[in-house]
Amino acid sequence: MGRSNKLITMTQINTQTLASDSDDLIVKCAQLTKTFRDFWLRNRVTAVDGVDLHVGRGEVFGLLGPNGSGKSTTIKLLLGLLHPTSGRIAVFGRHPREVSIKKRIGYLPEESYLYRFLNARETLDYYGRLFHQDRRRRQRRINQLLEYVGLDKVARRPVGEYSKGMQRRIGIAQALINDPDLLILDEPTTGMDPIGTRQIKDLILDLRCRGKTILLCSHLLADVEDITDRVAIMFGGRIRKAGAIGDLLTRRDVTTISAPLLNAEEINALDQVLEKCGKQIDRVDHPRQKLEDLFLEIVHEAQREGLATSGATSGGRTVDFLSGQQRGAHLPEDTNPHQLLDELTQDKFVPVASEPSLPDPMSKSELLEDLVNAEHEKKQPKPSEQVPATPKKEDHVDRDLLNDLTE
Amino acid sequence: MKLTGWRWLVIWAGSALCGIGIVAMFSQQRLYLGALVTYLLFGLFHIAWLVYGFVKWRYLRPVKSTALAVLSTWIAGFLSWLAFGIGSPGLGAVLIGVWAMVIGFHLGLWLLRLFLSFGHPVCGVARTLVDEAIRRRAPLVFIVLLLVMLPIMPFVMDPQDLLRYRIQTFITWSMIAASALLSLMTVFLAVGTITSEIQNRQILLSMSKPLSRLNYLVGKWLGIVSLNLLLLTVCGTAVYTFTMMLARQPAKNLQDRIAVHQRVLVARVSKAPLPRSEAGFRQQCQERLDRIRAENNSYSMVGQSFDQVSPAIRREVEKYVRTRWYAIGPRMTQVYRFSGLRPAQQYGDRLQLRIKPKSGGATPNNSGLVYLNLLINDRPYINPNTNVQGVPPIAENTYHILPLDTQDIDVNGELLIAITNPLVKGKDQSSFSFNLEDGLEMFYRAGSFEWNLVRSLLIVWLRLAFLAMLGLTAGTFLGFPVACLVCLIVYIAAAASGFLAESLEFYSALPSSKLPLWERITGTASLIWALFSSGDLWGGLKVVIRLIGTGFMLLVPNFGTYNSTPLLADGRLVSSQLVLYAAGQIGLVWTAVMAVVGYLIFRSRELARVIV
Repeated sequence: MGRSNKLITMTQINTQTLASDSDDLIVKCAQLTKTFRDFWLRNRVTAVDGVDLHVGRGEVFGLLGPNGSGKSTTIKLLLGLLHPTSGRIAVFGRHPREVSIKKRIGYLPEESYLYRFLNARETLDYYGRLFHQDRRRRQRRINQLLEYVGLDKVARRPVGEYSKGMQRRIGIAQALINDPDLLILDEPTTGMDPIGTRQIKDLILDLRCRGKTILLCSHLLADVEDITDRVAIMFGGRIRKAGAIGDLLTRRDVTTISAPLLNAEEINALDQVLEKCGKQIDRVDHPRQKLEDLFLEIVHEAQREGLATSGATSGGRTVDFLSGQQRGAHLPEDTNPHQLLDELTQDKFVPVASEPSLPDPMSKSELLEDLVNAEHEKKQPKPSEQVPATPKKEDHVDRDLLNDLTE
Repeated sequence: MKLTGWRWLVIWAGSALCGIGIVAMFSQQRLYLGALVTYLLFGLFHIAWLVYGFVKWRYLRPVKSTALAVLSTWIAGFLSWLAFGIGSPGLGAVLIGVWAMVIGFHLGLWLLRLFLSFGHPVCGVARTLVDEAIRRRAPLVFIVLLLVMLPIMPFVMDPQDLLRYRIQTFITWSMIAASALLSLMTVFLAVGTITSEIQNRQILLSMSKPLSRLNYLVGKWLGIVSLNLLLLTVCGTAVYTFTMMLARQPAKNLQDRIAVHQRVLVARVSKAPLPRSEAGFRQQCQERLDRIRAENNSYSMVGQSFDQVSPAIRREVEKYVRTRWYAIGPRMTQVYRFSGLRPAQQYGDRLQLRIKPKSGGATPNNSGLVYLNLLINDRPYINPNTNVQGVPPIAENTYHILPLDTQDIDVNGELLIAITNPLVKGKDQSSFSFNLEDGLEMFYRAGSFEWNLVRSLLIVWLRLAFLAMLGLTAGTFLGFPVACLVCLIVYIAAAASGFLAESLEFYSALPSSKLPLWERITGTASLIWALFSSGDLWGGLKVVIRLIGTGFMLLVPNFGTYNSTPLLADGRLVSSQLVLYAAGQIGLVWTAVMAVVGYLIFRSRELARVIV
């Protein structure tokens, strides 16, 4: 509990630091409004209405809301694909329509808007060219990305023949082709199976550890809760609530105690102890495993047993890829996913420990202590509690701990 | 050692070379049985190895291309052998032609993709467009049609026609087919690529990358014009090859054979005749002007001499005098001076005097023949090919070529031709005249057919480049059907601009173009008011329609001036000057104007649609 409180406090400190330091603001919107007009220039609908939005460097920011709340429109405004009716936007301190800032942005749209007649390799080659990448660098990154998203074996098939999930994977690969500093993901898990969903969440966490800023737009709240630092909840084009995920979700009026299995006598004894403090147990139950974890465990087990199925080969490999086990089935012997991600981000990799927005030295040492302690609690990890601490650690600590956490 | 696609390719090529070498060695030693056995063994291995490689490594482009090229060569060779065997050499030639064009296209495509493989956004967009063109159905249909139609065309000509007519027909229709199919492909591709990307939102991804909208448009345009250049190169090669193949076929007679080489497969310059005395011609013009003024006092610019009147009046007067000069009455002689013929002496070929007399009345004995006498530099005409003196009776309203020796050209590069309307069997013949445009011309060779074809294809390519930009511009703000319709209307209007302008003049009368601009505007307004107020609604509407049509024609480039196909088929020179003008007017001015318009629209356009 103490550790959680410390981490939440850290998140608050980091958020305040980012908000107060304008140089570290990657995305900044002030009173952003977008009104769509019809052919006769009559106002038809206000999709975004006076939105104030700040996303700091190295932050995973979640933009939440039901369908039609204005999330995608906000993202398209940030990318310069739509013009704001009023208000101001700055991405990396520049106007979003400036071509130069797009060199630092990766974008995954809500659907995979890919050329159906190109295959996966040609698709990535095309987007690589748009970033002025020379042939050698392009080919290296394409090979790494195809391997990373698990499409290297089907890279010659036209994208039009891909399943929706495979198209999302190639969409993710194209978003990473330039090793972006800001990754904008619009409904990234749409159409993905639980394996792919888990992969994307792990990718986001890994990228955040490498100092990347991620703007995540989704209405799948469970996914967002696991990985974001801060969220803004939109409805009707307006931000209704915004803040650090821990602040928004933690219930301060209730305490949950986790312990090995207790019988009735032990529970009664515990209740008596509480009665002495003038309190009582409200509810006793067994914690439930997450369905996602159960699913991954079953697929992983099937993979280990070598069961064949028409669609499981890819899934099995992906599970291996995610868990870092049985690499022979998917990755070369001397490769692991973090190493691959290191290679993908090595061009502009800046150790997060050198980030200027570090809190005071005291906080840093506490952070490291928390990360080490977290190793003992990895049987029931809660990424939303663990990840906010990682951006502020030294590189070697980061690598070791992340590998441990993943494996 | 693991067998990879590249090793397969090396083994395949190596085995082919080994097989050829061993067969050659056996043949050299006259061991024909050994050569045959080796040939069969290597042949079987070769086929098996090829099919195996194609099945296993077809995803590798070099393997796939090699295997497809070899397999298609075998199939085309076998089918054409069958066609020759069953007595259909035309079908065999068509098959070989289609195969050659497809292989040539693929080879060119490989080069084009290589050319566009630079890591620049413009090249990336262009290369993707080329891929789109060859992998999507709509553009591919036109490409396939083009690659199939051209080889068929030489074999659907009537073999009873004169050879030169067959060649001219083939050149004309093959160029028209290539131009039309490529124009349609360009419109559908240019419009389709933009509208489909906006509709299917691929453009959102492209525009979220560091790709400016200008680079996007330029990349699309570069892709289309590169593809057009490749296709025109393939088509041009096919047109040339089939033309040469046709030219080797038996001609109807010697004159036909000579005509093929001197009037079709050449690049000739034509010269119109000049008056013998420039001063005399101007004197006649002045007299005509004075006569008009005497008959009509209100004729403009009274008192001014011929040199001072407006260009429109001068042209009108000159046309009248020239028409009279082109007419030759009974027992009359007109002298025509052809100048600037010095370049003709460089090539050494014969000069060609082309005449098309039109009788003003009945021809002698209603034979349809016209008699005329010809003096070249005051000497009687002698045909240098046949050494026969004089001109035989010639059919009226028909083009006739009279060969002349270049030695008759004087030091100033001039030649005097005197044409006399003689007595026929002691009787006067009706007067005859020549059409002002092409009734009397002197031709001389000024280049080769090959370069003429190249220049002609260049002009077609420039027109397609404009069309590509027009399609892209229309696609930036219109939907696919409307944009295609607009492009086709503009293109057809541009191609037929001369005809349309003339049609508009006949459709409804407007105040004369000889009047000053202000008077024309007020006159037009008065005319419309007068027609509507008098109840002639239809008449007024026609004037309005003509004004709209005239305004539209001002916005459309004049492609009629740059139609090189008739020149090519008629063996006339498509001059470098014409190509340069086309490059300037179509390639630079109109395409650039269209590009600027397209960019301005595209720059301000919101690419995403409402999603709330």
